[in-house]
Amino acid sequence: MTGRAPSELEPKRLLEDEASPRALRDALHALRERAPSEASAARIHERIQTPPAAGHGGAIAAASLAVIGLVGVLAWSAWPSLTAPAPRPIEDARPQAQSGPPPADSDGEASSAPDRRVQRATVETPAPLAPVPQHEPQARAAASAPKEAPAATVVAEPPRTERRPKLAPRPAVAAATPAQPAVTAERPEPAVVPNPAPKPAAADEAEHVFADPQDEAGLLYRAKRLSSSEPNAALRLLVLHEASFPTGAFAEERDMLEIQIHERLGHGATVKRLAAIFKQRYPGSVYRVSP
Amino acid sequence: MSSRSYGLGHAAQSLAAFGAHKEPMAAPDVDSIWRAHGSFVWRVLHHLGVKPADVEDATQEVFVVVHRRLHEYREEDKLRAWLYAICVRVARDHRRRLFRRRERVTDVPPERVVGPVQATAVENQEALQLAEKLLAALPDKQREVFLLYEVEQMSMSEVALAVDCPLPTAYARLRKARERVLEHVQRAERRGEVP
Repeated sequence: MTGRAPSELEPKRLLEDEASPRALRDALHALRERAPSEASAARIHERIQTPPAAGHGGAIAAASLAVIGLVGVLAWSAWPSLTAPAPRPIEDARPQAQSGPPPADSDGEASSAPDRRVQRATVETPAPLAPVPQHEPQARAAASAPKEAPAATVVAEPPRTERRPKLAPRPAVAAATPAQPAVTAERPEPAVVPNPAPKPAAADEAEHVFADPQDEAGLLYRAKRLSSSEPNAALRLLVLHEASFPTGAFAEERDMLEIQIHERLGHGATVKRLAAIFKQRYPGSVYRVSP
Repeated sequence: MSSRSYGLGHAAQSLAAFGAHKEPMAAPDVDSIWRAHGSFVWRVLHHLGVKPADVEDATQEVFVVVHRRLHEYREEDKLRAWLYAICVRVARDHRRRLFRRRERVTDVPPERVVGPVQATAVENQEALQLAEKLLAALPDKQREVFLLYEVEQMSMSEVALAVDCPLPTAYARLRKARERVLEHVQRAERRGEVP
């Protein structure tokens, strides 16, 4: 061992060594050739181009606000009962915050008040963390109907935001919902009446929980069903589908559905790019309307 | 002691230099890192045990960290070692998260629908299955050195830096890993399990 460079002493790699078994070289070659598919690479590339500024910090700030709000409201509610034996201390303490109809009893009021404060603190954070459906709220804002469905949406979203603090959101969701907080903030104080309408967030969760990654047709069926109401959840299912069945029997349908969803979300650049890939990959596809 | 210049001293020197102050260089941007090393990151996450359905998310997380930490990175030639260190942390977080998820995660890859014209894909799949078996037979530390050297074709000093160990230790791990792998392949050949 004299003055030779370290690289000269490195053993010949098995992949390049003719003396190593053929099966081993094939195996190493297969590992070496592993790479994301074109569509997958395009998706990742698009996602990493969004700066992660509103990632963790936003989530932590939102959680802190929620906790501070909850503690504050609880302390505010408890204070009068410690100092004076007033029968309805909560209503007296917050006269301007409660403009809706009075609750049936004081217990119901005491339990619902802090919840609503927490939800508002979370919902008013910048959009990217929570994958909120886009079409519904915008339609509601345009119609400016002040009283019904908003209550269900506001109640449904916050728990997901707190439970799933991702490092960074999918930019497709973030880019598509810039005006979300403003719309939510302008809503009037929601009535306390619970709305039994199905919650979009819960539906999204359920689709993921029950989606069997080995059921190719089932995955695509669920994605198709969610594509109009929950496009982002549908996209996630398509990612799962592609990971499990990159060359599956429904690969063409999957790619087509992905393009349709992006088109619906208004992602023009992504649609163009995916369409170009689609044309290359399926030159004789029945989905092509132009050569 | 010039003959040992590439030994422990070299590794320690490299580790010390990694991230230390040097001539300010034009930092590569995230886009160029993705183009040059995106596949490397994707592959490494696979090899580190991130489930296929999560690799896209994990890759994004790696590049989120790259976004945040790019200003700390200074040495062009150690980029892959730096990326590997990030991948290790992201993969570890992903494995931890698996315990909290309700989805069913299996070790066996799902059955793929394979058409008759995809004979090469089948061969490739068989080779991959053998590779997975070989890697599964290795202890973690030997496996990472083996993969980085034999598959990712990194130099041994780069490997030592990436896995944060002295250079002789990296060589020892590689040697043991090779012995195990060759032994495994020969045994499989004797049994007729490989073509």
